[in-house]
Amino acid sequence: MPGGSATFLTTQWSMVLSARDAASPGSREALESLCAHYWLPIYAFLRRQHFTPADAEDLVQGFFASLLAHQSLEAVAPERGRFRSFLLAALRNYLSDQRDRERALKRGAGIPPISLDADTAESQYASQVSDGETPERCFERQWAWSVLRRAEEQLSRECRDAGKADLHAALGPQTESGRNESHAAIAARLGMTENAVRVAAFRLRQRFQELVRREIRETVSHPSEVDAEIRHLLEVLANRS
Amino acid sequence: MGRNCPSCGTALPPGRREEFCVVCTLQGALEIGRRNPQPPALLRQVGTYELIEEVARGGAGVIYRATQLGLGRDVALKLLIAGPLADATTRQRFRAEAEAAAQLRHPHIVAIHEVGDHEGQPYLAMEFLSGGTLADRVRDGPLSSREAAAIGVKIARAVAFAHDAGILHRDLKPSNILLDAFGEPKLTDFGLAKAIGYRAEAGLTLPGQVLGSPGFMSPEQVRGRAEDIGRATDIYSLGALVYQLVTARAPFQGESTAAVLRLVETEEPIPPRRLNAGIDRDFEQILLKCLEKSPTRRYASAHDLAADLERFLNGQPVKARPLGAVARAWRWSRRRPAFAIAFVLLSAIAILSSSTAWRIRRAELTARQNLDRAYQNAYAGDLALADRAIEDGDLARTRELLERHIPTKSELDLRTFEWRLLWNQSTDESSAQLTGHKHVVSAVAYFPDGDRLASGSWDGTVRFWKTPEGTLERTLTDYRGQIWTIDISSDGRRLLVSGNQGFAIWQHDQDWWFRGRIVGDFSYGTARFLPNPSQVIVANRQGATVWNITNGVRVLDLPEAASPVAISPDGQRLATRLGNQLSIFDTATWNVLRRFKTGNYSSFGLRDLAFSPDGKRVLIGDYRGWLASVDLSGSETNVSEITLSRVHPQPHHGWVGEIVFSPDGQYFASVGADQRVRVWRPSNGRLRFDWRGHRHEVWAARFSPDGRWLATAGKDESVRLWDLHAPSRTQERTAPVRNVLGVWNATEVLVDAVPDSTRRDRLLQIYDWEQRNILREIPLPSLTTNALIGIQPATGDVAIHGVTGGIEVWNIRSDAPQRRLHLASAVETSPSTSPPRLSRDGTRVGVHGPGTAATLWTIPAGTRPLQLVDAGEVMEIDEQYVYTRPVPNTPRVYDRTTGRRVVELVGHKEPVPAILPLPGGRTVATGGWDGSLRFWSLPDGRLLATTRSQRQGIYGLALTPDGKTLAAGGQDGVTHFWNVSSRQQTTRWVIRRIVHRLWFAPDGQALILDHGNQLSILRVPNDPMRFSP
Repeated sequence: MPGGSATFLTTQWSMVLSARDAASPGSREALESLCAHYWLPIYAFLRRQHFTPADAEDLVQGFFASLLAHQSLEAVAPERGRFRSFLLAALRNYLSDQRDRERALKRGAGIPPISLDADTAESQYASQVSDGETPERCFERQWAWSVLRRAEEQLSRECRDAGKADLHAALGPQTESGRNESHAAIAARLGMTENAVRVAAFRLRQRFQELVRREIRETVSHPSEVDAEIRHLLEVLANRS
Repeated sequence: MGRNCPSCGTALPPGRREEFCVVCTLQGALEIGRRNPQPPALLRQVGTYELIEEVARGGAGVIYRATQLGLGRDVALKLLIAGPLADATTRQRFRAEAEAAAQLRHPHIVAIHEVGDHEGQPYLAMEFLSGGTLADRVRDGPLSSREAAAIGVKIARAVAFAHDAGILHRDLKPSNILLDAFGEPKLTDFGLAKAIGYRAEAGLTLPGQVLGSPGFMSPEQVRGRAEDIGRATDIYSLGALVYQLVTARAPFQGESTAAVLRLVETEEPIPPRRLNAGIDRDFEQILLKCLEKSPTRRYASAHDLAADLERFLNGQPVKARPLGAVARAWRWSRRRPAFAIAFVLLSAIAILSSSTAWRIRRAELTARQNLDRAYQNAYAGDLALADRAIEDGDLARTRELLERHIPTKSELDLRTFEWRLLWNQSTDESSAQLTGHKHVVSAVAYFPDGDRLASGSWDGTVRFWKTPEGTLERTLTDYRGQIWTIDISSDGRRLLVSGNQGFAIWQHDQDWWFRGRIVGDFSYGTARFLPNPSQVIVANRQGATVWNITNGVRVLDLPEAASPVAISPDGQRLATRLGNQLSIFDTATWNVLRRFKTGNYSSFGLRDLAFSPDGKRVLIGDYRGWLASVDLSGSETNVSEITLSRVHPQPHHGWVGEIVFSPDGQYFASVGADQRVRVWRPSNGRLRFDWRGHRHEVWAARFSPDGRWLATAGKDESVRLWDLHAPSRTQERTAPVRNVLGVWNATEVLVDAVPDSTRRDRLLQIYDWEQRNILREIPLPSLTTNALIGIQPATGDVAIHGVTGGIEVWNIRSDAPQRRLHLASAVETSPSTSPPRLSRDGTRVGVHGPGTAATLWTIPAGTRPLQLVDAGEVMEIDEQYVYTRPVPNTPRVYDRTTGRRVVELVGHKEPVPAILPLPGGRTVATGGWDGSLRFWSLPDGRLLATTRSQRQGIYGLALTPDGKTLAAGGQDGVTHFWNVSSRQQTTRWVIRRIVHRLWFAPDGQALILDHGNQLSILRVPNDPMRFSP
């Protein structure tokens, strides 16, 4: 396309899917990156299947190792539409293989393909576990939260880069100590007009929605699937409440 | 705590602000999608078909080989690329026509399995034929008369069958005849088909498609007269098609589309026997009868043609008969009425009435206009295709499309700004292309003397090239595996190569010799000489190892470190990825000196690292195409949070291949999957060069030791050299400039330097914004408050509304001290009044007021000013009309001589900030916040066309000085270019900043965009030398 930058329609997931030759460096890295960001839902799925935290951790690493070695990409062709569905299908395949092989992979064998903070994983899982939920539902819900968390991190980073960390702290998704400060109070504290705070709050919310959308786009094979994926996540989250 | 979202009632987790309720957020994200629909791209699955590969591409669409999921059968899937003007009605109509064609079941018509619609894009699934096309077949040489006639019969029967079903093909040509595995011809691509009797709009609605094959078009198609197109049109094209089978060329050939079209309309085809003496005389007559200019003189039906071809095959006399001399003369006079009239006038003046002459001349004029329109359509269509081709990175295709419009001496030159813009972008800007490798070229390295460079490839060879000439000096073939990296020692005598067969060393004594190899897999790896000349570090994705290469001993393992690695210029430090962190090692002790936490800036995405020559920073390039700079001297250790300062919003699309600093630190270069080679200034992060030329992913880059050359290499199997001293072709530059009143020329702008409306003195500056120089200052004393300033760059006139006692007009272009002109006025200004407008011819100035009226003065003054009742804000004044805006959505047009209202332009749904009269004074373009660009005819105010290319509002319009191209800019940060005469969009320029206003420089060689607090310039010099193939 003419100009400095084209409309960027390649998503990370489509990069993985479109790689005809496995040596194409971009595709492997895109997959690695996706895995690194979306391991928590897998961990939750495994925990929900009553694996111990240590086993769940080993299985996550083993699963990603096999995935990144391109052993599973072809196996799940019909599920290839979205990264979320692909990952769950691939995980199921992997688990059935592993059961046959008595879960050959043990902690310490090989180099972990992703860095996985087991304590965070366990605390995240424990804080959101819900009784009677199927592993699949648990996966889906954690997935939705992973998407939102990624967008939150991005929002926080953008605000800091723009020197607006204080606004982010005052108006961002998470409140410290749960207090909901009024716009007037924030305005007074930050030396802004109340109207400016209102506008900033609106923009922040708007930006967050955009970031969520962008994040979701990376996990589908084509931008046109974004809406359907959002609707799916909405359904997952709405059913919880 | 049990809080719930007040909007949707969803339970909020502890600590979550209610405005960020997850359900509401996702709903908001959905809403964004509704506001900004994504364009279709990168399709992999369409309906129940999975696309396998692209097999053909034409003006109308792309054809893929696809598998029908479930049935598992191969099909040819055609996706229609909707033209820029295609709306729901067009698609619907197309679909209806395609469905009609789908009903044609005939052994010589390609069967259509399904006509479907995928996300609003219509598609056709057809039987897949593996035998290629007739065009492929004839490329090997002409067919015999009998072979061609046999094919012709079959195609003519198929065409007759379609005609009987009420369908015209309208695009018959050899590439539309597919061959099955047994060589049986089958007719396809009813893409342009129309139901017989269907009244098409005048002109050519799908220019790229129709004119993609001008050699097969009938004269009535060239003339664009819909009512003349009928069965005989297909018979003409059938004749042209068979003509090509026996002569291996189309009946008419020319150097450009325009030339061919002209020949089709005016010239007789060369009799085929003159091109191929082996053609039978009767067969020739059949072809010439098909190719008659007048539809009525061709075969009456495709059945008749088929029957005559069969007669020829059976050795019977054919019905086509040569013309007599009288018929020829008549035909000649019909095509050249002016000459004919001259001839007849000379010989028989007395009997010819002048009214007949007038009528014939009228006919000639209309034909001429139709022809011009056809050329314009062809031009706009080809440019739109070129725009798409450049987006696909297909420079060769872009060139091919552009070259069609390089005129010969006698032809009209349609090219203007956007043609040059595309030409520049499709230019391979590299100075040398070093070819010879047989696979991906993954690495390049310069020798220290700078006279040679080495390249390594997946073909297993290392090649040495003389630079900058680019001649191959020698090839080392010992590696035998995929080479991923190469490095040359600082004394230039050792070469280190790594890849999937381990790493290997060559040494130069009298000659280069292969010292040996350590086996291992270093795909995705890096290998570098260390400051100690006997040591190297070799890394892959799993770890890094230091080796002594003199004795082959493994010195040290850095198991957590992994590729990429970079060594500081002084050799004392090494940067690498360590787990999730960017780590800096001391190369003497191998202790870690610094660690930078990369957090979510995932280390997996890290593609390459580079030390700046002063050793103070490390640049990171990643798989997302981002670049980041890490300050090694700073105290911050958290890369993702603070020290990561991105240099550009999107340095590359797709991953970054390599980043490399120039030896003097003046520049750094990055290359990537997007085929781009980009050179940046590290001091300010500005893009200095943006080079195109590679035809595939770019993997490697190195500067020459003197910093003048950049060598790059990649998947297109070439090494390319780029000259940093060469001027860049298309240059986009941006600089901060506020309060621009208008543009004098490409670099000089007129600025309102003290834009404070409450002041009674103001200051104008003529400002060279590239050099950041104030060239002239013009103080404006004795103003009232809210004074408004308007300028007319064409004349250099400035109008100030709000000088004590009225309006002043003076000229600041002429060096003579301002010829001031004082216009008494009772018009008060207020903060809401718009600035005065000056006409391009310098004879009128108009202002808003009094009240809802507008006032128009003549310059020089003398006559009483005209009041334009209820005109409101004056937007534009041309030679005939005043364009105003009484209410934001509905512009009005007034006669500038009488002051009477001419017409109102009703249709925009939101405010119209831009009005632009087009050359000729009979059309005006408007651009609105609703994102639509509309063309209106004057004086009747009829809406000629509405187009909606911009996804968000249009804020400004500009016209090239030659009047050929219209540019529209606005909210979406994309400048769209339109061909004025065909009213079709040609190309776009993405700048990603809101464009408030835009101007072409008076010389037509630059476009200046005003972003509110910045100006950008897009330079496209008009250098004729450059624009030759």
